Amino acid sequence: MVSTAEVSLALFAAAIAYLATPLIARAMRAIGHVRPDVHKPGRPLVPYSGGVALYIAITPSLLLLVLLQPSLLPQTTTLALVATAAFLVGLVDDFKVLGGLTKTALTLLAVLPVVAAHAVWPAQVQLGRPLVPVLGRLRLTIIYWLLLPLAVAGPANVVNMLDVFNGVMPASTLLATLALMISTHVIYSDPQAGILLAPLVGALVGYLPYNKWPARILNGDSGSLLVGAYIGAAALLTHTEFIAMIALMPHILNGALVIGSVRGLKEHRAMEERPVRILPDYRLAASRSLRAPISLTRIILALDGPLSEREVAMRLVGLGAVSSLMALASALLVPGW
Amino acid sequence: MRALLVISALMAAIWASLIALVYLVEALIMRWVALSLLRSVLGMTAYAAWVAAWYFTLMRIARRVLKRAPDLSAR
Repeated sequence: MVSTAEVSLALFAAAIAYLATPLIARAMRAIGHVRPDVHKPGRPLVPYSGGVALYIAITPSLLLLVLLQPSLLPQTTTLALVATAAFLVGLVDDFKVLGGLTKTALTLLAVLPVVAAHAVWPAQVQLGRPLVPVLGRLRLTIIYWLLLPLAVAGPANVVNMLDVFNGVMPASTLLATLALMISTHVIYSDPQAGILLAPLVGALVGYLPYNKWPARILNGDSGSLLVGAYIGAAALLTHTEFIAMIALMPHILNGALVIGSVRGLKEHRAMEERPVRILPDYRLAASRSLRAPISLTRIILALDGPLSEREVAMRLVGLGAVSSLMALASALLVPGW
Repeated sequence: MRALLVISALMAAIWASLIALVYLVEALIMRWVALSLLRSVLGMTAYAAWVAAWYFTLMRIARRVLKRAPDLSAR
């Protein structure tokens, strides 16, 4: 079962996120850092860069984790550095738009703290031994190191690409993180196995009420890159890369469809056409243009017809719930060791 | 709700085929190929083929679904 330390840590992060988010929203509005919420009538201006609140909640929680369990210093330091790197890339992008390629290249660098930690603390930060269903622990050498740069940049960017409607990013990643946290308990049979994920779970729980429809703050890339990178790094540290990949399957599918259809990494603002059309009654419909990117949202709208923003968001979160259940099933299929 | 069912079924198929592939790579390539470099090349080829197969399948399904979507411009 979940330990008291995990629950306390998550509650601590949730309290900070819940208290900090409205203050951050007020501060962002005061400095004019707002963006139009394009799917709402009148396109109201909403404070941007909610990732700042998530970061403010996560970092002290990681510090508290070190105080509670000093033996986790290597893992906690690694997570804090990865989260900081991804958050800073996102924050710069929120204020000064980076190109799609530049942003991806910068997020690739966010894996460096993991590699450095592996070099400094090889016993505590082990890499190249992912746990997979049926087989258990694999010992990968060449393939693992070739794919390692994508282990943080991949989740960060696919979470960012599906951050398109109010509440979808925090809700879907909360489900994925919970699935990952429960999976570590299932696999390791240790009451504190998921403690590295507790700060993120708490921060998302405290933040979600402000980003859910109708959003009072938008995440910005500072939020989505931070959350995706944290999930990727935590998966590396807990050897649950396979399970994280399954939990984030809707995000990965969406990323593959968009990148494949626009033939490359393009910033969404640089795309000539949108995958979704806004009807006069503010319902959303799939674009009929052959040049528009293919996205998960566009496919949902093509299958279910015009929907409100909230209905689309519910379907995307529903897909997140399905993939999280599959991630849990994957954990149950990992043989005991 | 059709979207949720269709996409969930696709995700389940991807998940099951990935588990099957991981098992097959381990059971066939890792166990029976002695040379480490050759194991890596064959393993990567198998995974790349799986990714490519699913990518083209998904793009094809997506294009078909989008083609059948109702045209709202006439409304």
